[in-house]
Amino acid sequence: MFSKKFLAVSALAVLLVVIAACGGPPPTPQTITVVETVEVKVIETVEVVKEVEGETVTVIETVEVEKIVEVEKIVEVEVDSGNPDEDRVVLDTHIGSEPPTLDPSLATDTTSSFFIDQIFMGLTTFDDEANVVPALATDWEVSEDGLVWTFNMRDDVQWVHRDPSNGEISTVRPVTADDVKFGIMRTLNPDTASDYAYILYIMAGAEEYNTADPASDEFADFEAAVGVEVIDETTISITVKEPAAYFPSIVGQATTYAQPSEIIDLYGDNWTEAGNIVTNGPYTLRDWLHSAEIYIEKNPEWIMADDVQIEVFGGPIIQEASTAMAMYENNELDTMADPGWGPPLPDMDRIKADAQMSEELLIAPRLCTYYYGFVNTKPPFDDPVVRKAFAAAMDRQSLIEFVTKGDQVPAHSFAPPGIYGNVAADFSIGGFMVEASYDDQLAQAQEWIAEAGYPNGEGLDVVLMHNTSEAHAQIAQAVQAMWQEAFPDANIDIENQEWAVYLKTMQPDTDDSEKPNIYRLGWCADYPDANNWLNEVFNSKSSSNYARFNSPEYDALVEEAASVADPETRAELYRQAEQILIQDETAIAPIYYYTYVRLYKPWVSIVINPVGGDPVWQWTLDADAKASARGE
Amino acid sequence: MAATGTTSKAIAIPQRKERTPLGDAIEQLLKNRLAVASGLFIVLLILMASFANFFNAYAIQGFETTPHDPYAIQVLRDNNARPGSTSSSTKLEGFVYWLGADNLGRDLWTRTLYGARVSMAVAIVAATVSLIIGLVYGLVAGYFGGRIDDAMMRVVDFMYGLPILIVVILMQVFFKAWDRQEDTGVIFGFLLDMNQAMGGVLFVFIAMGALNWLGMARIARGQTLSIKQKEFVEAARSIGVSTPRIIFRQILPNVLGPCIVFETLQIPGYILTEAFLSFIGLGVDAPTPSWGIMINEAYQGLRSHPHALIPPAIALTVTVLAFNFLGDGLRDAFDPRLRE
Amino acid sequence: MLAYIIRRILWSIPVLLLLTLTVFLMMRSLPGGPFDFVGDKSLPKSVVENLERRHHLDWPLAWQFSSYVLGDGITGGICTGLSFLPGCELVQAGARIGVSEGLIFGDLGMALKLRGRTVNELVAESLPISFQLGMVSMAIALIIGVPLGIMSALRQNSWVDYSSSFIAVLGLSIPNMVLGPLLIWIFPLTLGLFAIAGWGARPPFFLGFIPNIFDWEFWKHAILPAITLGTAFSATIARLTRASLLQIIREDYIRTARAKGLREQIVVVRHALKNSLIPVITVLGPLIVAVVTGTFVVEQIFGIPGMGKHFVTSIGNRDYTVITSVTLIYSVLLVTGNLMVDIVYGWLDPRIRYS
Repeated sequence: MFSKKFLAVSALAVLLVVIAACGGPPPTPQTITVVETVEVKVIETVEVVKEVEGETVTVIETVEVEKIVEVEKIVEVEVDSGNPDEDRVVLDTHIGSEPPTLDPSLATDTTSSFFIDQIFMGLTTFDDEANVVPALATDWEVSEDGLVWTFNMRDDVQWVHRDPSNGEISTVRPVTADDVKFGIMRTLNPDTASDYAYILYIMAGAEEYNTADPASDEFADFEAAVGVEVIDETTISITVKEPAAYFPSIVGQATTYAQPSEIIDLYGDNWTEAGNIVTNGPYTLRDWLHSAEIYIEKNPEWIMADDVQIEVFGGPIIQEASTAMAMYENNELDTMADPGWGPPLPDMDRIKADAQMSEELLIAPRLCTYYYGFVNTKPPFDDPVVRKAFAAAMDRQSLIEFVTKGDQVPAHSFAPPGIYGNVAADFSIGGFMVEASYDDQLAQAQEWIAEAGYPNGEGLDVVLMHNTSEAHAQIAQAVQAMWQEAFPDANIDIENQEWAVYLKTMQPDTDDSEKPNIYRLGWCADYPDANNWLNEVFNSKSSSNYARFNSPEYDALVEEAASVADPETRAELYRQAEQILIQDETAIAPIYYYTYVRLYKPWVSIVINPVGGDPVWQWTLDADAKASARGE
Repeated sequence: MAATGTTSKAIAIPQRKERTPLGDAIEQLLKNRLAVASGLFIVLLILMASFANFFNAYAIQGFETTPHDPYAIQVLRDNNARPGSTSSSTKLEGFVYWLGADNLGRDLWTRTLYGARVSMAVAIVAATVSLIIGLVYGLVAGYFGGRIDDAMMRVVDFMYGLPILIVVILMQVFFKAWDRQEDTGVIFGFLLDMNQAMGGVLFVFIAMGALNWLGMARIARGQTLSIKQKEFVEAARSIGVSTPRIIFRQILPNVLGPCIVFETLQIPGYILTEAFLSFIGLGVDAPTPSWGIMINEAYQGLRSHPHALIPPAIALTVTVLAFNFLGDGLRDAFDPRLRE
Repeated sequence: MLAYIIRRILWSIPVLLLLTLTVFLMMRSLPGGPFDFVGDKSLPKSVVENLERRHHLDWPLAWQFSSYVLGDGITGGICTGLSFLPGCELVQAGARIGVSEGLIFGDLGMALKLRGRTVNELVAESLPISFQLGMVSMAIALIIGVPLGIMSALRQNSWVDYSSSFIAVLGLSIPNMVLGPLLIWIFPLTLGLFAIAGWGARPPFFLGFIPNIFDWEFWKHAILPAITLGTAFSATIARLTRASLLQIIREDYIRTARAKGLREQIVVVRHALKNSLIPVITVLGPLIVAVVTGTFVVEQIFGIPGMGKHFVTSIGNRDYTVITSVTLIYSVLLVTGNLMVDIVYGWLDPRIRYS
């Protein structure tokens, strides 16, 4: 009887909630009236006749008795119309593309990495000046021979799980050294097929394990031989195959993050879905409606949860920058900041001219270099003098001012400022590309091209190729016009190829006849050390050496720099390497060092990490200012 | 069916003087002012595009443009110059950007004018390829009928399911690979030169035409089916005229009209496809201008620099409109059932 | 009729299979593979080998196709039985990694670039949204196209005809990448109407694809993209309506109706219009498929998580399974659409009999 009525009332209430949620456009809390059956304790006064033994005396006593009755009652119920973020600090952003994965072992792109950095922690991380700082690890030491790194870890970081049915975030268990080992081993397991596994090849036995045949009998031996050892719950030691001073920045890579083995075993490929995933970072995943939106929510159990002000972060996935820009201007978004997806280029003039938006514009250095490479083996660019002439005949300042418009910095070295071992302050290297006056630069270029036997560019047939993209096409056209002006008799064509084809064309083992003379590429830091640049790209053995630059002297320098420990010696070795690459041989023509170009509403204050995902947990947002700007 | 319509009309109004179906159609077409205006516009556009060397802003304003192509002249400092502003470059002193300049400081009038070349070439190339393949295919299927027809129409069904995009990318990739090789022979050499002049989209639109003949084939087949039962075809066959001759001399002229009309209505699709390909980054190679690539460069800046979007967008819209009206007019004119 | 439908469906199976094979082979013949690069960088050989083994791309093509269509189980079974076949040692070595249950069991395989996701999931989350967008667009196309076509036909070669045609064709002539941003500028930004981007309906949907159409959120997000997309198709519909109505009002039975002294309105609405819309229905099949799948530009501009992007991005990514599978879905939709149109056509027009 009771339960039936209760059911009926609940059904009615649910129905009303549903109607309220669906019907009215304004999603504000509403008060509705429902008839509810409640159990009430009633205190009744009863007269009791007491008989006292012996004598018949009738005493009438008044006694209070508790009784439960059902009454119908009209109550006002506040209905929450489905907006759980009513009283929370929410930062609305846009996400430039669907992250291909949130699995730390598999992530390769900036969007995936950004979210992984919000929900997981590495042993180390980077501060706003790209220095390595402790995170999950409290401190570390390296053995005398530089081969064994021991990391001491915090013991108070918890794995947390968010229950999608009630939104509660609860702790699962502490993060241990075993989780870190599991993460590294999972990345290296050839069956995981991690793209970035090769970054861990510096670890002893890692390359052998990653390239072993999983079906072979010796596979377990390879696995056991990887130099990752759990000392105790919170201590892990990693053996490297040769001394690598940059190793602490390697363990800040997502591929080394601690991973929860039991969840991955349980859910397999789907372990990163909202509801399944357990995380250990400042945030945890709340919603991931694929291709549509992503939201992360503050992890209240995180070590520094008290310092985290923004409670919910996320927004729709919108690839079109101009659409996102419209939403930003309409105050629907607080940031226009997805890495690589800043404000649309054509709007830059308007933004800079607008009093309000120019204040909101944030331009910060980014650890990437945009460059034109010369195919060093293909005539006429097998002559360093021709390469120098083309590298000099580029008005980088005008290009930045009128085309790219993001206050990028004209580049004259491969590794940008902020990378350990960069030479961006040393103008004796590549200074001829960034002279104060472009006219001087131009005169020098024309002199060089004549010296190389092509006066005014006569007899030069040059193909400049870029991968298909609007932005690259703009730069290529501007540069083509500059070269055409510097070398009027040269024949310079631009071609573009779709990315996959382009890379095939540029592979070092592709025949030169299929290659262009000049190609465009950008390189961004995986970790902020020149090893990731000078050694991993232009070592003659590198698969990224599209320039086919081959200098044994250079190879020796960068290989030595990778293995010595002394920071100053390393810096000097990298300086010499840049000297060869840029000044002496001019294998490539650096164009500019990237910047992040972003817009933040005035009520958001941020901290940027130039290497990877920004620490959103350090950001703050003035919710009142935001609400009043939106007219709420 | 079309033929019976005309006969019955001719019988119904015997006082009219004798006239050919073609004459009828032309008279009908000329009555449709919108179609006539569209036709004139298209002719004018083709002329302007062909003689763009004389009609570009640099030539008209008397500036020397050699050795560059006029559409590639850029003054970075003048990027996004407003319509009617004057160039800041000393070399182009006094040059007026009638319609403004684009984001690399290139004259929009000139680029829009040269852009017409690509759009017109695309229209003509794709339409011709599609017309030829579809017509021959439909004629053969319709004329032989039976199993051959069945099998050929299955192929058409099959191709309907093929996403054109994949094939277009394939063609782009392959032809670009050829482009990189030195020795290509006479015919290929010629085609490659053409391709270069069109900014590398020639082959894409040959491919487009080569894929887009399915509707054409169906129409040609339907027409052939009805015409081959006509007495004059029977007569030709009975006196031993060879099959190819019957197809090309007797049937083709009667099928051609509706097919050309159909193809005219396909042209807007090709022009818009060029714009779509530019959007996904498979359009013409820089710095050759096309309306699609110009729209693609400008649409993001709609709210900042609308003047850069207006010329190519209007040129494209008006041209597509014109082809549509011309096609509609032609169809009305050629289809006697639709006459007043 | 039933026999006819069954025959059509049976016929489509080999056609679809052939199509799948064609796309499969075409994609493989493009230079570059899905794992040659990551972002702006190329990958070392060892890593590429791991990735290829993970997705059975190290198998000979025929076996890959077999795995895609028949599944790993049957493919492995064939190789166990006929182990002398070339490439079988690779198949047996790779059999411990499951990639696909097989197309015939409804498994469209694993996406290569979106790690750990299946194509079934991609289709399940994007197709309903494309479908919803397509339906609203088609409704808009009909609402605009049919009246314009009727007005044109009734006043042939007058200014009404010209302006109706002009309006109808204008929608077709403005490219989507111009119309979309323009609408965003006019409505949400200037007038404060409708949403700029995103999609208002979210799963679960009724019957898997029908959103709550009483929810303003849905319309707020759907109207602008649907106008952008729908206007392009309204021209086709207006043109067909006009042509077919022009033809029908010259028919004898209309003349008879007029001769009886019926009012012009009644003649047009009761007699002519109904029959003139039959040819319009024939194009709806292919049009709906085009609207459901050909939405890349609109999806991109309005930030809609539909299926159109898979057609474009999976080619650039060389995501073999995704492109093969979405093409197959496209073809199945097309076949189904055409078949349904034929059935409706036969039902509406008693003169048509299928045998």
